[in-house]
Amino acid sequence: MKREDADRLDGFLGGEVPLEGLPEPLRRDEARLRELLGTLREDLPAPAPAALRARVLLAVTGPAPSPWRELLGWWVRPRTIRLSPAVGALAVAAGAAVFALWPAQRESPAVTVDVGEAVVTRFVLVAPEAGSVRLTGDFAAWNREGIELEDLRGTGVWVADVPLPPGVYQYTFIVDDSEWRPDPTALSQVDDGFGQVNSVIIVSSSESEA
Amino acid sequence: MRLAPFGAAAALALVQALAVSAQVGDLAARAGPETLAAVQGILDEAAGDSLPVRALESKVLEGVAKNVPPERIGQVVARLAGELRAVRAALREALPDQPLLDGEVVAVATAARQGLDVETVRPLWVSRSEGEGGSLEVPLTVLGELVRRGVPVPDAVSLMTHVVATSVPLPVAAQIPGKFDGAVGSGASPAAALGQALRNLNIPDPPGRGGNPPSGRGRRPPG
Repeated sequence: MKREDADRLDGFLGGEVPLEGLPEPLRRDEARLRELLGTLREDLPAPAPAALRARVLLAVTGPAPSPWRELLGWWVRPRTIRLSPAVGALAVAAGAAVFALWPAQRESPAVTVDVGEAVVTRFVLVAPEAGSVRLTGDFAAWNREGIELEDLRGTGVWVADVPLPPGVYQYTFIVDDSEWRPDPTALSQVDDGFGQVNSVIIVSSSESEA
Repeated sequence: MRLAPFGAAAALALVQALAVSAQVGDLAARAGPETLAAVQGILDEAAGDSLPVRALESKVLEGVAKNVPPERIGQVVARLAGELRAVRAALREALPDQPLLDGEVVAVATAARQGLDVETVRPLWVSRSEGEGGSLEVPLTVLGELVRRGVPVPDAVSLMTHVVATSVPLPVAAQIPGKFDGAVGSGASPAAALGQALRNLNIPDPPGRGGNPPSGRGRRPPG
């Protein structure tokens, strides 16, 4: 792929370049991938009514899953997909291009959902090798017990939803009760003064203004 | 996803109770006599000077959790207290009539570590006093993050003053550094990246700054 095309594709993925700005071959690829995605989505069961689902999940497991979690679940749920070799190769090439061109820290790391005074903040660490992951920070008084992350279906994607008051926090993950590991997707990493680094997150309510 | 009000309140109360009780109660229980001896004088003096004591206590607990030797914890906490004292004094001199929140002092101290002169943040307080005025902790933190990323201080201050003056929602303001990173990752210069970040978030350009006018007024997050 030419550098110019790669830049345009990157701009398109970042929402800065409209589809019409892509060269014709990439537009065709996009259309075929969109069609493929539509086909895959047809396999998904129809969701339960949102209100019922929220009530059931709140009663059984606490907060209802966010759209982010549903999307993640869609990706990690095993299923059989039939592809022609040509479409399969196209999908692999598109995936490789995304990985090669996607800049680090494109977006803010945490998914936040406003629930009044508290903002449910999702912390995620990809650590397939980990046996346990905990979260601690100044919002948890740096307690080593911290907040336990859940390994989503044994995928090594560790997740915790934490309601936090709006503010700016420093935090870190504790892997296997021994390794202090910063969040690689955090807004920034800061020197903790002790020879390690902490991650920084801004938690803000949707109703607050600067 | 929205939690029921009771659930949200209970969850928030749980987290706050965890943090507050752990911090207040655990400082003595977790720090141990040697660490307490190293930091108690610093904390007492900080409280007398109206410094953000919770930030200092948090640093003590962080050091304890990370198994840092007491002497080293004392050094780090003393240095942090010195930074906060200097920042608070500078802010008090520049803004004698403005209330200073702990989070604001901590945010300016963090930004100052990136080379930001405390005097330069005065316009943010002026903008706030002209508006309704909430905590400046988030705008100041974003300001520090932009300076850390190489945005010239005058540009960063001008932008965040504008953000405060136009009451840009905090969740939108908080996304500026991430959008800036995305644009830089795409090959944009810092100046161009800042413009892209603003357009991406539908934040109007600050007065005197070039660029295409955004389509909205920056009051709501995009999409």
